[in-house]
Amino acid sequence: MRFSANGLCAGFSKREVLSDVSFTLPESGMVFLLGPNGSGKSTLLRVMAGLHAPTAGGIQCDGQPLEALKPRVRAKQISYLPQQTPQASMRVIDFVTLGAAPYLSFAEVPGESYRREAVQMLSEVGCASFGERMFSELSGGEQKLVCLARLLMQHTPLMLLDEPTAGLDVKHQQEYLTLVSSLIQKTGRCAVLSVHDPNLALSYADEVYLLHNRTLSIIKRDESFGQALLSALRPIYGMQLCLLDETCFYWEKR
Amino acid sequence: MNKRFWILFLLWGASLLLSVCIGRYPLSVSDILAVLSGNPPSEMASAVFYSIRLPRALLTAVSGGALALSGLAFQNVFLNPLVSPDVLGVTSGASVGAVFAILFLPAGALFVQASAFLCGILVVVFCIWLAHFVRRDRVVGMILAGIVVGSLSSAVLMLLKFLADPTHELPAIEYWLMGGFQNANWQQVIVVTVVTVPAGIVLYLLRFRVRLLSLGDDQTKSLGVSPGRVRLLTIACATLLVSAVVSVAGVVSWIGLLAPHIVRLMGPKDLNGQTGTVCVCGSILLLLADLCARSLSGVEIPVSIFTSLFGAAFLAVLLVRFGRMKKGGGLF
Repeated sequence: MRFSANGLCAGFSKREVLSDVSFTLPESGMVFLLGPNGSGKSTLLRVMAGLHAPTAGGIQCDGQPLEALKPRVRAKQISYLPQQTPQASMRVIDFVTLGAAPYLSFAEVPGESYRREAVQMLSEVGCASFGERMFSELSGGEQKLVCLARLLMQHTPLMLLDEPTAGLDVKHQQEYLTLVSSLIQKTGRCAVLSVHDPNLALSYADEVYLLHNRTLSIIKRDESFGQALLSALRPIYGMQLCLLDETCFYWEKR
Repeated sequence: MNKRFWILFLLWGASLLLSVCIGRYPLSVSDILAVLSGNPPSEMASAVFYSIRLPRALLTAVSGGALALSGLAFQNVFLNPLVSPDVLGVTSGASVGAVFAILFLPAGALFVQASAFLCGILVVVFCIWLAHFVRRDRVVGMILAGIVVGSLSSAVLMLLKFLADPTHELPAIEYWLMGGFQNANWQQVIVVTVVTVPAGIVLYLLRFRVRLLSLGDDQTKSLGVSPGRVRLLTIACATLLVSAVVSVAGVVSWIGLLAPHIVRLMGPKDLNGQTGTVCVCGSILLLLADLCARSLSGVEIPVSIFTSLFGAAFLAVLLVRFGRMKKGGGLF
């Protein structure tokens, strides 16, 4: 799917958060959205998901304006996971099958084939044994993984994930991103993830979108990716941010 | 269908039978079989069965199921197990309508019924209109609007009571407000069934979409489903259910809140696929409450006294269980 934004401006009644943002997403790959707190990462993701109307500019989705897509059609193209995990008191298997909604007609209830698919998605995210447990009784990290399985049920070429790794331990963070990146390589999809840790971007990103002062700069992976990222991040976070051997960011204490 | 449903279904059959048998003119099971087969033991038995007991039992059964179903629907829409069908003011609106009819419209049960039904719906429409100004959080908006509307209705209700003639009208008003099925007749059975069955079917068809709401509005939208429309349609159907029941029976409290919780207490933590069980449970509760109301003493006792008692007893049991539970368990 070809997904591009042109001259996007968005914000809330009194405050503009994004101004003249333009980009074209890669057909396949991981795009990491970086930026300090309040820089508009979540807003940009919500605009891309069609949940927040831009004040100017627009998004083209395969040559069609995003807002012209019917909700059901859009839901088969773009899936979105917000930052907060919902409070749902239902079994994990039922929770995951909710992701089949765009493929069901008005009064249809997901049948056996969707349940089997949900079981398969759960095992893809490494939660095969969770099916019968209550979603609300899982730990925060487990809920994140189950949410990812719910998202995968949508089978969209574009996945938007808002801080999916927040609250996960180091190992789960790496596993989560390895999982997303292998899914993407397998099926040729595109994922846009907002994160705070530049190290995650350094190891997994194909492209980094950096939001700062309402504008977006794009850094693509090449031989000097680490250095390019460093020089883009330093004006935001300061000179204490350093890069070790092109592989790891660290914070130099003064 | 599961085992739980069939056990409740048998209990329901038993309650219905009890409801038909017990009364000032007792009918035995063999009397009823004889009446049904066309050889009534007496003219009286046949008349009591067809024009008093049967309509009353059916009306009570349908009303209980309708109230339970609307309670479940409201709890699902508001994602809160403590919500009762009255949050948006259906019951208080219907009460205003009924009292208005008692005071100002020509005498007749039909006027009271129609006025209560329409006012219940009108008040909810007003409530939703008020809530649409709250853009940030729709559910909180609706609850706030419900409080406003409920308060407004009770003000009007008090004013109407104040204006009422204390010897004739005021007792009639109070009696209506306490609820009861003593005037049950076939016309009411038909009206309530015609309204509640289609509304109930729509609610049943919506059951998957309503579950999407627990993902939150953003995720529901990203799945291609409009959360606002799902909520509106569910509330509309649930309001029809309650309004229809209240218009014939007056205020019947607690059934909508109680029935889903009793089913939850029987095992399932999630009421997905338990719609039928919840309906049957509400139906049993109301049949038993009505049985108590008309047979415990020589006079007819308002049914809400018993449903409120059931509610209080049930909540007390829950409270004690909650107190005994280890840390971390939820009340519901």
